[in-house]
Amino acid sequence: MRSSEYINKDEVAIIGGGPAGMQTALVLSARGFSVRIYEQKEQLGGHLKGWHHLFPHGVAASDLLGALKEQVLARAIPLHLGQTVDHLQKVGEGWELWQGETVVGRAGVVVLANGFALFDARRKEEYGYGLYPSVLTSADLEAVFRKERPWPFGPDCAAPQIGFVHCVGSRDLKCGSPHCSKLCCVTAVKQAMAVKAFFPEAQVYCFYMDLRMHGLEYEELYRKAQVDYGVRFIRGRLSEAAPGQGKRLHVKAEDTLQGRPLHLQLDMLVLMSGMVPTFVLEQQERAVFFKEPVFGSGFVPVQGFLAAGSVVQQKGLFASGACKGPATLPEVFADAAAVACEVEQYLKSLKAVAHA
Amino acid sequence: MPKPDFGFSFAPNRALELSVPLLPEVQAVLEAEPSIRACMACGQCAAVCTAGVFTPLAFYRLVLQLWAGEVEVVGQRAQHCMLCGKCQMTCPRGVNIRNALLLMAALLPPKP
Amino acid sequence: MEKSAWFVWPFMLGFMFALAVLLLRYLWWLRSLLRRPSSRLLSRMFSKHSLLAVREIFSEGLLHLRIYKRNRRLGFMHMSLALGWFMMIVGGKFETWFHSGQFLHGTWYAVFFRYFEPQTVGGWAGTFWLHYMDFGLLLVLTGLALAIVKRIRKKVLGIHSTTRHTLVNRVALTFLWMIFPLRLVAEALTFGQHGGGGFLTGALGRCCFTSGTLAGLELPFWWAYSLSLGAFFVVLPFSRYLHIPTEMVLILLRHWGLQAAEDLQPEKALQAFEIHACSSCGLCLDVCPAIKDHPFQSAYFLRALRSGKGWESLASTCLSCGACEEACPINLGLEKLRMAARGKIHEKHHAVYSYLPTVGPVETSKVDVLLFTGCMGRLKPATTKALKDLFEEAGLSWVHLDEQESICCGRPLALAGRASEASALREHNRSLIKGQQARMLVTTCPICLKQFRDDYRLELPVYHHSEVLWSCLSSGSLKREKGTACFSYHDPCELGRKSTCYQAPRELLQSCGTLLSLEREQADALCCGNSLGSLSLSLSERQALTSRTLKVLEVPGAQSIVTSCPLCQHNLARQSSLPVKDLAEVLAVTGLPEQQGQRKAALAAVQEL
Repeated sequence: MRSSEYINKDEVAIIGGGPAGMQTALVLSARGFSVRIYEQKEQLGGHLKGWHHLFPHGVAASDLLGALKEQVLARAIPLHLGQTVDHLQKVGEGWELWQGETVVGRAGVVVLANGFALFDARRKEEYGYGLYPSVLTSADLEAVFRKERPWPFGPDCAAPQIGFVHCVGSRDLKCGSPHCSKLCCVTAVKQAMAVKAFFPEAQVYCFYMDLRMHGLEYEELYRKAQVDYGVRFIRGRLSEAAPGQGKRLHVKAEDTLQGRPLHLQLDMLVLMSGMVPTFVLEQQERAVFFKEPVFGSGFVPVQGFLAAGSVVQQKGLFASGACKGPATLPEVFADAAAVACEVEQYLKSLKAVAHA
Repeated sequence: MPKPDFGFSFAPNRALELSVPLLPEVQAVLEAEPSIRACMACGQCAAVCTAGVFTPLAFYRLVLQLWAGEVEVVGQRAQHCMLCGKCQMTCPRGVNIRNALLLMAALLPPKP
Repeated sequence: MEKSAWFVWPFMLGFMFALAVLLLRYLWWLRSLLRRPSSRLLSRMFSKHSLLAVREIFSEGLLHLRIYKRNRRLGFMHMSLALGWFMMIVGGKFETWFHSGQFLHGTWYAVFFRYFEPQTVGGWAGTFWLHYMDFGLLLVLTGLALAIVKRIRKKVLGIHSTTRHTLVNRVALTFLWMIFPLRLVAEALTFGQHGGGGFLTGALGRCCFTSGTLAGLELPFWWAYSLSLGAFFVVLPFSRYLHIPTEMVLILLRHWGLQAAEDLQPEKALQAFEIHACSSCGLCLDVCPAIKDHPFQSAYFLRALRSGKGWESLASTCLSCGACEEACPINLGLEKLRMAARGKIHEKHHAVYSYLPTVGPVETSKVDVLLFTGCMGRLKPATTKALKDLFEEAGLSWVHLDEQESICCGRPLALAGRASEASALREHNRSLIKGQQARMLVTTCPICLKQFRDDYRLELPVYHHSEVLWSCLSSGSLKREKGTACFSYHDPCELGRKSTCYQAPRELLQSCGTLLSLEREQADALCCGNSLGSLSLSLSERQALTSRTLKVLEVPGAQSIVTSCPLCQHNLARQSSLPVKDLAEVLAVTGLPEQQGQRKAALAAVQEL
């Protein structure tokens, strides 16, 4: 008996149990397809697990995640938690999912929903991440909001001086990421406002190159941060972080609109780490390997202009959500639904061929 | 003949005239170092610059001034550059700033 | 001379022409020296220096020992061509002398001797010269065969790249390649017809050319031989083969104490001889880290200088990593020449540094170390912090000279050919250093190190931090235990080739872990791609170089890449999938906490006393 006979051609395997994976699974399941989720962590949720609240309305991340999980459970979608997949093997029209030397699953269609990774801020050594405890990434700050880690300054500091650096590992050819991560701008605005809510006396500065408030109500949030929260936006880049007075950091920057260099002492410096690929596809004729990304690697490439998630050169392999490039949550949800429709079309076309 | 005094004067027109062609010396600099065009004036170069702390040298501004045809200002300010290359190391757009500044500083005739 | 000798004229005319042109060119290049010869030069001319020069001419111009040391097959090719030819010239002279009892003859006589005197076998000496001359010819032909193989399959000669030649050079090459096979056939024909000859020409003649019908071919082949010689000599002064005589003169001039000018004068004095002494052997191409991207290597740069066209971009793009200068078999001052060219390109550049501060940090008591981290050091806070921790651990006191604002050391300007501007910066830094009381100046940047050491003439010694840390380890003020970490070490150009510091970093790494050996390291190491030496190399080209260098460094087993230059580290760290650290960082984290505790306790005890 050939192994392809094990494969249920109608079954869809979804790799990644974050918002994209869950949403794709939900839409496909609602349309009557049998779906499985393979998630390498022990819990569903992806990056959403680490977030405190969401822009632009301030919805608690745990509420959204809870609602998604509930639906997944309600639909009894089979979950393979703690299951890593490192390559796919084409067998007949379908796929085998492999980890190392063992087959961990079989499916007619595979949807990649592995999401994104955060740029490793240590690569921009001049900002001192990992060297000075008061330098955080945006993800670290969310953990502070979620009370999973302490504020980097003492309780006696009622009026902390705080700086946000935009575009850390985005729009930077030297870091191999020429793209704009597009949601760090509004995340910084959201986080700056949150910090002000915790410490009304704090002075918060955002150092930006361009503010890209592309989403609905983002621009309004930006204005609110300026007017109601007193956040100061400075168009310019930071040079480097160095030890300053006491436990503070000494920071140098250029205010490009004033055309003058500026110095300031900070209690906390937040680096808005960009979104980078978590893996690169090494495509062979009948196999697809998920490899560690190397310098300059891009996101998963999809076919043409009209396809939402059909992966280049591979029939029956789709990609959903932020593994294809930076995306906000609403965009991920919309994309996941579109990819689900494409998967449905594909499965139907296979059936039509079989009948003919 | 003395100029008539009407009791008021007109300030010179400050607007940049974009429809006139670039100065040949500006064009020559852009041709010799085409990466200058990639500058988006983020200010990273100026943030790391030692000369910029003491003088009005800020590479991204020189680029803007070059486009505006302010050759003399560009030449004068570029002369403060020490060519250390810190700006080029950190430039997110991969501009060859050292070469650009060498070319810019040559826009002025050398002092005796 | 009984036989018709008209055929010697092409050779004679070509030879005289080459001689005349060479003489004129050399006189033109030496014009200023001839007008005002320096007393130093004159005194060295009649001293042992001339003998040393002759020795070098023999070892490099003929035996090509330096090429041989780098690449045996290539060295043998050059050696067999040059030495064989030289043997034949000398042997020819002796043979004619021996035969006629007369020392002076027309130049053609020795060159076409076999034609005039086919039966010269007179006793053992005559036989000796016959075989000797055949041996010389065989040597040249072997070299020629290797040269042809090199053109077709360069890998056989152990090289990856050969120089692409211009038309005049290809013409000269063709004539040169024709000369010796033609001589072989002409001599063999003569011996075949008249008997005699050595082990090569005689044997060939006896086996192939005894037939009387071939007698008519004898003279045409001697004509062809003469024609190819003559033609080669006519193009010689305008082709790369000008290097043959020029290299000898260059060696003499160097030994007589002549130095290349700082500014670009490609038709004057030593610089002219350097530019024309390059044989385009291709060793500089083979070692160049950028060979796949750009044809700016020294062989091409010098050729452009010879023709006066297109040298500007070649001079600007080069990384100045120093690999070609290290490999050059005739030790040409390539970096100096390139800087002179850059100085010429940017001669209109001018700088003003009056704004710089002239007062450094104030420290009244004497410290051990004056620390200079340089411009790039500011971007590497982890290195600086680690080094300061290590100084503390080793009990060294320090002042950080450029903690606030960094004044550039001047080397980046020098690398752009702006020597005078660089000296202005040196003045500023010198005045900052003068106010300090320290035992030594330590820098974390090899670029600064090179500049401070070579051009500052400071009263205190200058060290790279790897050297200081090594001496701390040797003296026992720093202690490390060999751990399980595996490192691959990247030699920065400015620390390795430019400052010949290879041992200190290696000793440091071996003290705390295992150092892996690499395909290219030490003097052969590749440039990280971020060199300040290049002015116009684009970012994508630099990144391509970096990934090539990383391929060498990311060997199996390596857990981290270590280097000792802030530029290299910055650049490699951005692109590498392995962590890239400075030596100081590696050494700081491998310190055993227990030892550090002991040391602190000891210090506290001393302070209590």
